[in-house]
Amino acid sequence: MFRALLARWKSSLRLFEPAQVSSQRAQISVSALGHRYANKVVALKDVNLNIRAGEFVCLLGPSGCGKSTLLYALAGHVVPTGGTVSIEGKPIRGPGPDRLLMFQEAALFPWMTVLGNLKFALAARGVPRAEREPRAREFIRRVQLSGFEDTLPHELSGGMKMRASLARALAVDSSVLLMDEPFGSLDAQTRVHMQELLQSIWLRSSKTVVFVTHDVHEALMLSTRVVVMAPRPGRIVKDLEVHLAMPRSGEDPRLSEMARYLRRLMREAEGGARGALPPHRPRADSEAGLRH
Amino acid sequence: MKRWARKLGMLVLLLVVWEAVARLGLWSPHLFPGPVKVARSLHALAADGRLGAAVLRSLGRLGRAYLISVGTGIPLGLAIARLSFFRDAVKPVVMGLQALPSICWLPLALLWFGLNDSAILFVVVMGSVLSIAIATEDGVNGIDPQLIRVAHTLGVRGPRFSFGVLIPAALPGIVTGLKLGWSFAWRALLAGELLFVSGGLGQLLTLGRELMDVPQVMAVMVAIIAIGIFVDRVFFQTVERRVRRRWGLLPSM
Repeated sequence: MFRALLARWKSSLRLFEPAQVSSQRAQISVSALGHRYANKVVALKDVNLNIRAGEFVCLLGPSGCGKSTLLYALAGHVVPTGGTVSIEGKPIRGPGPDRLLMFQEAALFPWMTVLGNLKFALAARGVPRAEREPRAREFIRRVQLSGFEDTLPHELSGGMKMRASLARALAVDSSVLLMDEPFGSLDAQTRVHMQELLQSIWLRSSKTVVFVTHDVHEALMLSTRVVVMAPRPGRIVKDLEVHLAMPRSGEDPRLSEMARYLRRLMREAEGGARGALPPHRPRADSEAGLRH
Repeated sequence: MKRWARKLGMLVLLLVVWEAVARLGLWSPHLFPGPVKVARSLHALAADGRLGAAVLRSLGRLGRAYLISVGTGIPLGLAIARLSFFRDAVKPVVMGLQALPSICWLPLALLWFGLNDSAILFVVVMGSVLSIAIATEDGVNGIDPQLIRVAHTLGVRGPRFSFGVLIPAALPGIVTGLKLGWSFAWRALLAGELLFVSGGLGQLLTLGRELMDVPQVMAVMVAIIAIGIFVDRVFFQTVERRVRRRWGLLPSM
């Protein structure tokens, strides 16, 4: 008993703490959310989630667990078939200026320059004309794209496009940023760079970020809270706060242990969805299985 | 360079064969003149200003009709693509009328407007407006849905959405439609002009036939081909390539 406690204390998993946010204190509140697509596929079932302002929440799960559907419901692009989604106490009905959705692709307007893309977005959000250009340039500088203001999107590399897209998302300054695997299509190195960039910008702002990913490592590097989801039907299996100082190092052994735990959770959730829970494996075994 | 040499070689070969066949005397030289005669006739037409006046007259007419076509075709295409009423109710009508060759409108146009410019304008507009509308609709339907979603999440609405996102995003398709519309309009115009005293290129052709002046007929044909190639190849192709390059649809090299 004592040794078990000691092991628990020594383990990095103590850095995980079950998240308990009451709906009164939440900026975004999701309750009893269900969604069934027209083809009868149940994407989400009875999802409850409360997100405080300023949190960086990662929705983590294998494909098909409904994490993107949940994000799109928050963005107002998907109208859920059941339950309620609200922000600042008001139910979400369609896209709004308080939220901004960022996609896996950069999705810049191809006929506008980088600067033009930012200015257009600012104009759409009602920023006065005189303020648009300085603000756009400031955010281009922040994502380290200075010198590429007048470049067309198709002349940029994948990573630079994503940075331009990030600059556009940040420049419109909505309090909630919703990101759908935004770095999924980038190569490993660019990806790490983008994660660092996003984190440093987030640390300086007070934005709430909801970030969808299937990459455990990415989730642990970035988030203050990891929400693990499972498929068939899409649901939340674990909601953990990550108490680890930022910026975090990818080589941190505590991080790897936490990652192992999350991977096991995800695998069990997926196995559970297939019918039977896999037998609990000895630790050495699971470690070997997790090497990648 | 090599491609230009080949094109030029082919052209020269064609002219030489034409001249040779004309000189063989298989047909009466009145009915089958060689390129030299045609060129002389073309020069004469150009020198006394008849050709220039006819070209101006025809292109002026075409310009007016084309402006009307573009001005109604693009909004119509946008409406068909974006509004369900237009998609369900108007699109079948447009598709149906598109099957009608534009010159078939001429009898009706003559009865409605009489023997004048308006009748030809009407025929030209009917010949091009529908194809512009259909191409615009295609262009809008071909827009990457991601761009529309981005526009929504950024809160782009109303006129800013139509003019800032929808039209530019569909522009490569729209330009193709404009090109298609232009060639339909050009055809409809000449068909219309052939049929009555209109003072355009078409009338110059008819005049050549009435005077049994085959070199003049051929000279006017050459002029028509030249204008057609110039507008299509030089103007529209350049615009199309520019747009496609800017939009990143072509390698920028």
